[in-house]
Amino acid sequence: MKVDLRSKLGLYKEGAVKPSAPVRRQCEYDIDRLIPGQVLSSGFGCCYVIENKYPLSHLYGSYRLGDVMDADGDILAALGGEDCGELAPEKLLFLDTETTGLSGGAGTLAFLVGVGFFEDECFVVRQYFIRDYDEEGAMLSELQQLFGKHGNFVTFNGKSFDINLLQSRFISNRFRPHFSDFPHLDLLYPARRVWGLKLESCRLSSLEENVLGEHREDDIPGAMIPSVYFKYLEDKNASEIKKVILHNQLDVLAMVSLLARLSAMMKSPLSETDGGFELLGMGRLFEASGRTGDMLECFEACSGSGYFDIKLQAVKRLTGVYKKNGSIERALEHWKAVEAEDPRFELFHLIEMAKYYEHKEKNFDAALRIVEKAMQKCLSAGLSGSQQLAELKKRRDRIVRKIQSAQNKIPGKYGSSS
Amino acid sequence: MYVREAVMNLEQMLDYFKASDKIMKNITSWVELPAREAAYTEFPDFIDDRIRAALERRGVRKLYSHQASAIQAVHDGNSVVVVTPTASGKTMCYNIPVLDAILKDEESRALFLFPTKALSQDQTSELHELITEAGVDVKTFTYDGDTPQTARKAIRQAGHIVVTNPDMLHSGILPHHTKWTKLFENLKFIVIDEIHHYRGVFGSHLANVLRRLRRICNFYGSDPIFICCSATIANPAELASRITGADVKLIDNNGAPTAKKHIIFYNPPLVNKELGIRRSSMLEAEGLAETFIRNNVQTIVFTRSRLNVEVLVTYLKDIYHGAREGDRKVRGYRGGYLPNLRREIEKGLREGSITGVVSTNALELGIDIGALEACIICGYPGTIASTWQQSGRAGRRSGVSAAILVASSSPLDQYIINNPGYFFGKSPENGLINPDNLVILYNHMKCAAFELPFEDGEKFGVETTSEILSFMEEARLVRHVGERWHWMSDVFPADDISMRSASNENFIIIDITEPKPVVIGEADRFSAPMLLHEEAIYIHEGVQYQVEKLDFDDKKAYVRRVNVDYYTDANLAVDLKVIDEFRCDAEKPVHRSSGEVSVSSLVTMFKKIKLHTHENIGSGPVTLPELEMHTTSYWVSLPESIPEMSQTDVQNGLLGLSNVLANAAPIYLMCDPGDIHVVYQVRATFTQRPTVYIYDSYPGGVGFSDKLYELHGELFETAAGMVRQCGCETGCPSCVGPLNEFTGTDNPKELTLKLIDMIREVAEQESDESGPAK
Repeated sequence: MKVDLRSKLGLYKEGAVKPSAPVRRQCEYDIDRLIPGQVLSSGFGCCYVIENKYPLSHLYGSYRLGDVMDADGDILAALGGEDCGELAPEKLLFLDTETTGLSGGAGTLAFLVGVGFFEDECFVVRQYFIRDYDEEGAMLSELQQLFGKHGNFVTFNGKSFDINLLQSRFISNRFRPHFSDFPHLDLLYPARRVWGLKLESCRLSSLEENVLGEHREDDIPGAMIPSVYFKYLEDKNASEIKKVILHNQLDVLAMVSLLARLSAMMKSPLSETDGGFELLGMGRLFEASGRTGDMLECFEACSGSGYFDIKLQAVKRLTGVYKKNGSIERALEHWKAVEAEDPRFELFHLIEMAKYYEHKEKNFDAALRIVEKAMQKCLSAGLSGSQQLAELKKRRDRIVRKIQSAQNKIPGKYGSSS
Repeated sequence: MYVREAVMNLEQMLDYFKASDKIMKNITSWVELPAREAAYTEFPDFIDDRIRAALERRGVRKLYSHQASAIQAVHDGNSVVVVTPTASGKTMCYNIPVLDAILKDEESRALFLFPTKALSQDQTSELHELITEAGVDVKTFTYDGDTPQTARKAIRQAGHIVVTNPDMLHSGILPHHTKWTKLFENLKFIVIDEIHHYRGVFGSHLANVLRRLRRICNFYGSDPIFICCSATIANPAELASRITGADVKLIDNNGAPTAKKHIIFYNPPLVNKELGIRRSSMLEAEGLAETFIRNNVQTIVFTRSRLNVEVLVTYLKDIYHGAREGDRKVRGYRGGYLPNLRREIEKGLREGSITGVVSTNALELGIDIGALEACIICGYPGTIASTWQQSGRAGRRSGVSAAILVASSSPLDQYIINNPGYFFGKSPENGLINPDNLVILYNHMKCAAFELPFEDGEKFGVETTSEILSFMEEARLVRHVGERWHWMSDVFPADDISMRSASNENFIIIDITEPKPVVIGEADRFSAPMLLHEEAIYIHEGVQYQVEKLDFDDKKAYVRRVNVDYYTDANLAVDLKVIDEFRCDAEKPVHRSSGEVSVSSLVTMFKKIKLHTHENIGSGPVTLPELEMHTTSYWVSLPESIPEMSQTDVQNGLLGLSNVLANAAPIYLMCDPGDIHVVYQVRATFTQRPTVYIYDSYPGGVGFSDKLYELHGELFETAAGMVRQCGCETGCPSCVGPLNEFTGTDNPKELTLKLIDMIREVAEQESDESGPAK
């Protein structure tokens, strides 16, 4: 009495095994009816390509697509960070993928790769779509050629996801990925620096709404995308896939707009940012790319902010630099300005001033006054057992010792040993 | 008994023991293994000079015979398994070929697999020392759960030797193989240390992980050689071949020297003959350890649970007058100690500042703690291989060492202590796996499909691969297009697999004693009703817990620490049906078979049994669903009517036989008692014959009971020995079971023996007829 394989596996409760519904082909829902495009054929097979050309004056997120061309290599490098490589606007390739899952690993693939680049005075958005698994080779071969012409990537989280994934797909299909070291500007990082403090979420959708002012109607939620593709594979009904393709297109445009915005902000931070968190964030961007002059300009502007938080962060960074480059008086002015607001819980500026008076000016009385003020703040804030208070005590005791020893060295003025 | 003033050395102490009647009457066996000279071979010519020079600088001028054989065999392109005792320089058998290959070709890569983190750290430090001594630029890295993210990229690209463990290989490396192109394209060696450790469920999983690995190597064009090391078991080459899927050559010409060694089997005296209760093995071990430690003999004590470690360490520290001195001289050791603490203990032992260390079996595997003089093993560790490994901790190059095995009163302990032949003769223990267990195979096939699409006609271990892929397609996990089967899900399949269980449906055991609940363990779905019903007493690491709530649907059991004087035993009503018989020997009156069975188990009640006396002090109901499982089984059936035995007699005999077999089978199978179940049917449904079944506790079977078909004769010989040698009159828990379990007889021992002898007679006849080869 043999039990066959199927029943055995069923007994072990392997997932819900539904008999698949017979596939009905409805021609009006085929992809080439719903989404105009071309079938591209090559030695590696076929894939489906959708292309849209936009004039440079096309507006998205209150920026023209062509505004990106105004960003020079320096700005792009500053946005890209340390190891992003050399970027030029003409060679930029905006890239976004839609995949069969987010877990990464060899079993996830990109079924839709959307790219955008400048060519012949317009902005081309081209999308490569694989209508089934056996079309991947053709798509990758096309991409490989494209990367040869436009080799500066612009992505959103592409460093850890999209480009990684494409490398993996190349290898799985036995192509050598030559693009691992191409210059790559991942917008997620500068976006976080600039908007991380201001917005709850720095995802592209949030930035699009809150920064670019673009609102999408009925956009397909990202979590649904893999299952939409799997369903498409089975019934070849492109109605839902159409939404994915549109979603991908808009993601590409959003990146262009975002880059335009960031470049404009970087060019004229004082006028193009909100003067608050954005300006502070821009200062941090400049700091990260070593543009000290611009950084100081931003932080100086922030130090006059009405928001104490922004002011404080700016002052911390400014005075850190000023201490090192010799502008100690400027630093002192900032610390005094902070103290003028009499913040209840902030001690950093008092400690800095105490250090300055003790070590630079050797004005021990002033130092002592400030340390005692700081200790008083600690106590009234209820931090009587804290590490900070203990350190302040140490500092105070040291200053007192210095005062006493200064007194002992000047006999006659204060009397000797009596 | 314990001499305080005069300090004796180990030799003198052993002479003292021999002269003491009181001690000697508890000793069932005392064997003196003579010292053995080393058997050397010259370094093979092809080894790179830098390696040879480095070894010479470290005092190694020649190789032991087994090292040379292994290195030569690997050089000739063979996969090998090296089987030699501990401290015989096994690591050289893989370190040398791997380093040599890398020095000859900088692109070469190797993968080292260790079962524990601690072991991998210790073995690689030896490798590092050799590399440093040779002054070469060979990079070895550990890649496991603790490896920081920032380091991972560098390791993937630049590491010559990647050290990892099976779990990390399964979920961290293989599913991300595209990030490891350099490794897979150039992989020359895969080293698997302590391969005997991978048996049963875990071994079956590993075999499939290696199937996936070989598939990926094939994709990248490499074909690595396996270098395995194993403890002495009956079937090392067979096990290694089944795990690796390669043709593995056996290397067992051990050439390492040994000093003289005493192996002593000690059985604590009986305190209650009727019930078979003996003096506590822990107290006996403590006494022996104390004797050694007081005389400054460096001693290691092995014990079976963490709790026992703590108790023993406390006892032994009391030997010393000051608490500080006790803390310094006696140390405990548990799995999870950090490397710097282990180095500290090792150093203390080498320098003599630590005299005694108490450990669980965490210190059994390979880690170098120096060589001690004496080893006391408190309670049989469960396998002969482990016993040898633990006793191998004592053994200096010169001078004498001693290992003492102290038996507990459990039936297996008692049998081993009275039958030293098992220990000193050829190993009876088989490392068994079942890589084609359907559940396990299926789950790994999912991972394999995720890693690389299956091609039409490709086989993953079994001929029915394409059928399984069709099943996966119906379950919407893969899609068949263009002669390939592609993974079609956003799920990461490796996450669904627990490599130590045979199903995805484990129960989690949560300790709610403290305000913050802590997960302390897991149990298989099929064992859950028996072990985790409400009010059950569950023992973990020697500590008692009571199950307060079992959430069957959520698969969680909530337990609370207790301190009681009883244990619980659930009444498992098993309904067993034979589905398929693969092998059968039915020519004689007694039949033996193996095949597949369907087991429905239902727990309806449990008993509370007093510790030591085995009195029944209460019971309670259990309301849990019936569970069904298909698995592999071996069974023996007797003639429908047996002369001079009534139906009741046969029933009692079968019950006794079941109890004995449950204790005897693990000797051959290297399994835990819970890995197999034994049931009997006085009248089996289709045959009407009295039958005893032994089946694997895991769906699909993992290779245990299946093996018993071949070991049928030996199994029953052992069973006979267990019953006959037992000191009781008519039956006891150490052989056929507590007397109060039997109704309608006052001598279950006699009845059981009758059945056993019947079976043995037939088995001996068969073996005479079929000749020596079996």
